[in-house]
Amino acid sequence: MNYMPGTASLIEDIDKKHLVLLRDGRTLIGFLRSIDQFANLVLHQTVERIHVGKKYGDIPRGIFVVRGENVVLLGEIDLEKESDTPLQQVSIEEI
Amino acid sequence: MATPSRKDSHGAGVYLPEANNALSPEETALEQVCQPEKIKCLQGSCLDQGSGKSHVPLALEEELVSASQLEEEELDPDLAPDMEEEEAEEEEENDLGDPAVQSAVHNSQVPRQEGVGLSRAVCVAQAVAPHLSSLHPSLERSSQLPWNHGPWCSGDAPCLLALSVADECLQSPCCEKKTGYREAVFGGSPFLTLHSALDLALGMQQSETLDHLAPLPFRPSLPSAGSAARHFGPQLPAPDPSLLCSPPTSWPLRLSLPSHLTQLHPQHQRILKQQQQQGRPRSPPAKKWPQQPDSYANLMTQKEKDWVVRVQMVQLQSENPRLDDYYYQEYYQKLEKKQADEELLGQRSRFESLKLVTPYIQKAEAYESVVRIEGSLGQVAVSTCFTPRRAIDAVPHGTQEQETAAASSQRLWVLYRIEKMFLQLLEIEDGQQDAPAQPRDSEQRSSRVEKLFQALKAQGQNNLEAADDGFLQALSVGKGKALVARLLPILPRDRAVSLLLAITRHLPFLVKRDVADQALQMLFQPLSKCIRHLTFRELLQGLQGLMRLPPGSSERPITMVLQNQFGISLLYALLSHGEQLVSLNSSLKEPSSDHSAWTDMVVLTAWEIAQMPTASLAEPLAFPSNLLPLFCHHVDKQLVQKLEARMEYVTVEIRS
Repeated sequence: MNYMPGTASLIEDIDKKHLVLLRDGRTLIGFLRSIDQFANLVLHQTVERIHVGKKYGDIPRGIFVVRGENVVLLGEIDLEKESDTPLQQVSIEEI
Repeated sequence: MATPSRKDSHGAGVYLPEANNALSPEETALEQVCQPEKIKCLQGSCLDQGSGKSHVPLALEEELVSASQLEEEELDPDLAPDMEEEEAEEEEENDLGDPAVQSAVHNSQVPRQEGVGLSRAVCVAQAVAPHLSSLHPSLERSSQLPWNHGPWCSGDAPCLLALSVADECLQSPCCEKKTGYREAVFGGSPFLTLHSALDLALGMQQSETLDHLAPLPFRPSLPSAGSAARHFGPQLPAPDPSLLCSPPTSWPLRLSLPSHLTQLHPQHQRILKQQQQQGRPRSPPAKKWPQQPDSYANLMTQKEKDWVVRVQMVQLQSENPRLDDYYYQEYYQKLEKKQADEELLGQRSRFESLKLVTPYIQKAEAYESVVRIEGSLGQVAVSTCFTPRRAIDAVPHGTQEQETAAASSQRLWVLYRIEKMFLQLLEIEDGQQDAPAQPRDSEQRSSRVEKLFQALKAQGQNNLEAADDGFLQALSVGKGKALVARLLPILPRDRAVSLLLAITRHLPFLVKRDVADQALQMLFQPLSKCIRHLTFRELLQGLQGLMRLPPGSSERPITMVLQNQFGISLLYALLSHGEQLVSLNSSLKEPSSDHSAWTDMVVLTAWEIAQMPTASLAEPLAFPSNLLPLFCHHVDKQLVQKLEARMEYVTVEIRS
């Protein structure tokens, strides 16, 4: 359902897995549950991903409410392609 | 979906068993047994009650009643999680659901209170209704029905929706049997239809969620004897699978809710696990969508989504979309044009591409910020919803503070001026487009143009600046150059000439300022057009500025001008025009002073050009053909040769 043709909207992204980059440099991955007109986001089952070189570590965080102005960018994660990445997951302690 | 065996039972007259088809095979046997009981129960409970109760819940209750005849322990947990899940999904109080659910777990035979069953039924309808509306496009219409549809539905919108939805189902040609059933069991049928719909769709999915959802309506509450009023005599037509097959893809997403991954009450979870261990037949999870059925889906209801969209639309409202949203309007026009062309060429499949149309929402009218009551002293504190308390008008009325002549504020001021002027220019251009030739308008237009011209020439904040400063400041900015370039064609001749002269007067300055942008080129076209209208006198004026030796410098401005592309192009254009004028006027009387000045100019220019190393001579944007002959007339052979060398180089470059 195209709500607003010719515009970009987060409505279609709801309930999908997203990667969100914040202004402070954090990378969050979670299911986008709710939005509002300021692009404040509610992320569910969020995981904070820390990258070091070719490795990354995930910290499970739970539910996030992100104020819209702090979002740099966000993009949908294709769940099938999520696993093919050259990066290697390691434990958080290691990171 | 509906197994063939079940179809036969359909003839039994009661729709209910149909819905039960979704149950796992091992339960079907039980169903068979229970069916006669069910039928009896239904018919037994069909008492026409008074008008007191709303029919919908009653009807639902009946189903629930009949379903509850299936006293199967195994089915309860299936139902319970669904119920619970459905309730959790809506904003029903969970506490209401839980006791019922729990009791379902513990003892399926416990006679449930009517109220509980009622709420649960309603809840189910609520849960199901939105899905159905999205399912069938024609069903969406039903959402527009007035909410106060009838006395029998106590304003319960989702129920109403469910009813109207089912109504549609019944009305659709796909429905096999349309009896007077509709009127009779209006309350009951929709829900049943709904469920068969669900079952069918789910059945197609071959997912075990089917098992969970299906028994849902039939689980629960035993109404007391005095309930129910529907006569289920005639058969409920089974909705045609094809009807509900239409958006099969949306179903899994929508109806994935009652899944085994739901947040379950721990007891339910345990029972479920037991069940699983018993080895219930499981279909392999349909890998249609990438993830497992999302249990948290649709936390944001459709209403909320619509609300957000609406707010965003309101923000997009504009009175002048061509001004505010120029690029989208242009894009859309091009798209439409392309489609129209395609259609003309015979492409049948013309699709209407959507255009963003903002709903016209009346903005809340401005409220009175200060309320004055006669007889009161001063302002009375009035509290509105926008401002809890607004005792004084805190709007500054004073003039802007005297800004310091700091560079940044100066620059900002210039930019601000340019923006304002652009708006004026756009207005003028729009006027030009819409109403080309109307005498009344042309006066208005020329006054606008004049206003704009004055704004362009206007001073900055300090009136100590030189006359042309405002203009020059505007020209220093790239956008200002664009403004002037667009303005020149519509200016009257004398105004345009004055601008041109100002430019030539300050050409070195402009050239210096333009090093970063290199945007002066855009002025060349309109200026060259303007040059053609110059009189000889004016031309001389312009050129003389370039020849003047500025105080404290041995270098003529022309030297720098020659090194800049725009400068040299302008110079050549001027010279060429001068030559034209001279050749035209040669037959007439020659104002000797002018003529000698002209000659001096030419000689000097030639000399300067010759002086410059070829490498540093800029390449002009246009090389007028009468320049060389011009120089030939006035200058000696040697010099001409030098000039030729330089200019030929240039002309070769241009030609290539």
